[in-house]
Amino acid sequence: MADEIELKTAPADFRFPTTNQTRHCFTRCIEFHMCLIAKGEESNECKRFAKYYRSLCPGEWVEKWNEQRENGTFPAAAASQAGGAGSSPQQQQKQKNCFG
Amino acid sequence: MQGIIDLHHDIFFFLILILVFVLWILVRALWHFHCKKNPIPQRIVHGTTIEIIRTIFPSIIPMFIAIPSFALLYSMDEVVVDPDITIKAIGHQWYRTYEYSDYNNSDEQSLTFDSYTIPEDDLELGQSRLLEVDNRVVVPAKTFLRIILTSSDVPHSWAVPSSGVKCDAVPGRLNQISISVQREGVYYGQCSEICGTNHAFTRAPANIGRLLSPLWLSRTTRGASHPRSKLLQRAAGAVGSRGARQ
Repeated sequence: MADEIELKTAPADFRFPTTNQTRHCFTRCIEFHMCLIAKGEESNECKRFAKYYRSLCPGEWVEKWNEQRENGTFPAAAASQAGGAGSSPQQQQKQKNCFG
Repeated sequence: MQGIIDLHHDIFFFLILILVFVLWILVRALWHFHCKKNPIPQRIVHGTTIEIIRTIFPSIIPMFIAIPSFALLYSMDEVVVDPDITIKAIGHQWYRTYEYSDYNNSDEQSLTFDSYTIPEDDLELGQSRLLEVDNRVVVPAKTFLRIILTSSDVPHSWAVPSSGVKCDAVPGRLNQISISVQREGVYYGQCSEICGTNHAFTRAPANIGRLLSPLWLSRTTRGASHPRSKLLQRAAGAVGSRGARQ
């Protein structure tokens, strides 16, 4: 049995040095989904992004975003693409335009 | 926090200096211009030199005070080291929800609990009125903490005077404050933003950090079945039976 677990959380990010961390949370969430697209769903490399956004974002927000991703209404195109099935053909077209 | 105390001492140096000087002038004036000593008043109404001095000099003093003050203000915002724990405090009317989600493996799973102020009638002997809560926030001592604040209804404010923090919790925005607690103990705080009828009374969103050693987290996360961790949880009153969802 391990005596002590390591205390670890999302590190300080130089992109978000201010008190306002709203973007930090949102960006980490998008980075996670971008990572899934790039590396594949089973990739272990994306896990750290998931940890970061779960540390930073309130549970309520994450729930809401997941719901939006399922419905294909998530405001960031790349991340809603990862949600896949729910998005309409129009949105898929839009995403294609944005991400080649 | 140490910086705030140091700044207070620095400013107090100027404060005492000004106080002594003003008192000296006042007593001197009373002494020298007493009606018995000086029966015929002088008719000087204008003195350019003294007027220039008394305008320029007091405007320089605030500048000396401002230098360390601004340095502290901006250094408090900066996060220099990576924090060890992130705690999310979400303000509600009129309680607070705390989330510890550094060790979550899915979006659903989260260590979340609500913290209500204990009503006056339910207080036990020795508990502070309008300060005691049912579920305390437990954080490790001597660790860099990141507190993320937000609100789900109206603006609230999270303030712990003894840690030197006060930060608004605004809906739709995440505010970050970093604290490091040097001593173990119970720290009280209250909502500092008028957030509705019960802002000050029955259920003020008080937050209390009971600060234990970093070992606490390992004990509690090891499993709720562990008798020691259960005991500790109960002692800390943090993730007790009431309002705790895991």
